[in-house]
Amino acid sequence: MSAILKTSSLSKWFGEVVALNGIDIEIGVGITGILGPNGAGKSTLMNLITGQLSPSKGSLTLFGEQIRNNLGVLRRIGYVPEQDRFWDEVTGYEFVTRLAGLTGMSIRDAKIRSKRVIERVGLADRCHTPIGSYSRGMRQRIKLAQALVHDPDLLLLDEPLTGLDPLGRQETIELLRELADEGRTIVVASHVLHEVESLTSEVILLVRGRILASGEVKSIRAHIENFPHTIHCRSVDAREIGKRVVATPGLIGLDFDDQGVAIKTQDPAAVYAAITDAVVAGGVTLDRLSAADDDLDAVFKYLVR
Amino acid sequence: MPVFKQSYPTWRPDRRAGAQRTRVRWLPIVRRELEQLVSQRGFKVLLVVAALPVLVHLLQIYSVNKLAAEPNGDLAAMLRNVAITIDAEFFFGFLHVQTYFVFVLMLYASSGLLCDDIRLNLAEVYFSKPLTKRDYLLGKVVTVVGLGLTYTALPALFLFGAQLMMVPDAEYLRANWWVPLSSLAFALVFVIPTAFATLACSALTSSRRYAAAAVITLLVANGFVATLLSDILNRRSVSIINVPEAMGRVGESLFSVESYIPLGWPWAMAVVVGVAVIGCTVLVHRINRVEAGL
Repeated sequence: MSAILKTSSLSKWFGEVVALNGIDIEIGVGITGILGPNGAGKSTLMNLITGQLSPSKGSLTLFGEQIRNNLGVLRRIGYVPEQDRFWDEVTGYEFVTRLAGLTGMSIRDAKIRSKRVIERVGLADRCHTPIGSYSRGMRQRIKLAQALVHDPDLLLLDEPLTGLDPLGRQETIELLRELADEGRTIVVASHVLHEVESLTSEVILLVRGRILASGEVKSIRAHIENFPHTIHCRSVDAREIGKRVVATPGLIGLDFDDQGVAIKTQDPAAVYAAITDAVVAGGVTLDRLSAADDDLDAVFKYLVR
Repeated sequence: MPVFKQSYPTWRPDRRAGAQRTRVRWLPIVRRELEQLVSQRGFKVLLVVAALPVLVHLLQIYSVNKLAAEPNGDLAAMLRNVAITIDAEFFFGFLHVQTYFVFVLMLYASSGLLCDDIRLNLAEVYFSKPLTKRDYLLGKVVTVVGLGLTYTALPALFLFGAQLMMVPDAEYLRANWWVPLSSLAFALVFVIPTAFATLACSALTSSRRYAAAAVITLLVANGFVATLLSDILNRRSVSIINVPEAMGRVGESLFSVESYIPLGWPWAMAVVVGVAVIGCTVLVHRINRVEAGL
């Protein structure tokens, strides 16, 4: 299977500002997160993917074709922009139907499909009220509906979980996973790490217009040598645990506090083994063991520092 | 480290709707804008008000052809004394009056067409659809031009048809067959530059109020400069740089009406075309700047 989205040395600059610099990515079916702080180039990349910008250098292909001015490819894309201020006076149903019309559907098809997709995003009961009365979460859903109405193969979402309450967030995540399970390619851009992490483990880390890393969070993590892991041990026997792990290879340091000890190491496996041995041997009570920096947040912080 | 996930099945989307794609991609834009306008009370009021001159002129045609033809009666005698003639000048007069109403209507309609999209950043949504910038612009222009023609050329043709139905023979048609063509041409001379100018102002501002104010300011400034130069140079022909005067001059030529401006219609036409070209250039430039985020 070939990549749905492929870029080669993709660069974009605005005057002297380099927004993207030599990006090489390949994205296949499933959910992929594009992660980066504000100004990293995520929106520029999104605009390049939707054909609203032309590359300054390099190439970008979708479904094996150039995207710029290619209406055939644009028909296969659904885009959920970050901003959610639309025509406040129109109803959600009218909003989706009107935008469906822009994809080339007949009015009849647009109405049928709009109704169906609104049901799918869970807005059927409020679709005939004006968008101006919608909550942030409802606006996110109606944006998603307009992007899905023409059954796109590729769904691009810019900050899709921003402003959602926990329930809405969970429902949106489930919906996106369902869509991915149907075989669609979903690209989610966000600067909120835990949002992307809750959606997918496949990420592209973008910083200052360059790709810092790409792939699964764990494999990125594994590839970073010299990246110290911090393991928190919550225990009344913190000093005893400290004694047991102090001789392990790769140990960087021990940081004791009232509740336990934080162990910094380059070889977490050796530390886990030493702690396990200590617990099994007796004399050590362990309340809680947690790896503080196995998540995306820690990887990201480490990479961008 | 490419990002791939190959565990999902290939998705086969339902593409039946795609088979019924409309070829006219700008049509949904026109539809959306008209729906949007018609939902506004102010626009509905303007539509009714702009139809009043049509009714008045229809009444005049009826009066001249039917009531004035009555052999007896005070009303018939009075109408005969008023001496209204349904000729080319009558239709030019109608269109001239109508342009004031239609200008307000077009200004109301077009002032928000682009600035609202810019303010709400809707271009981002529009252009992620299979829609080119040309389609987008065409949709906006067709909306305004269509509206303008519906209230100028269409009623002029309607009035001409009404006149034809009321006259007893074909003599009138033989003598005035060119009037409908002139009406259409004059309507285009008025509507196209007005549409481009008002849309350009809408594209350059972030609010429909500012857009409308910009159009009116330009119009007033244009008239002021034209009058000032005409007075300073003591040449009546300079007033042709006043765009409404230029439009009127072209109309006078189209309807063979005597003009008080001692300058040929091509000069007036050049002014009209100039306004349309400038407006169009501003529009295209502004929409092309969508690439830089508008």
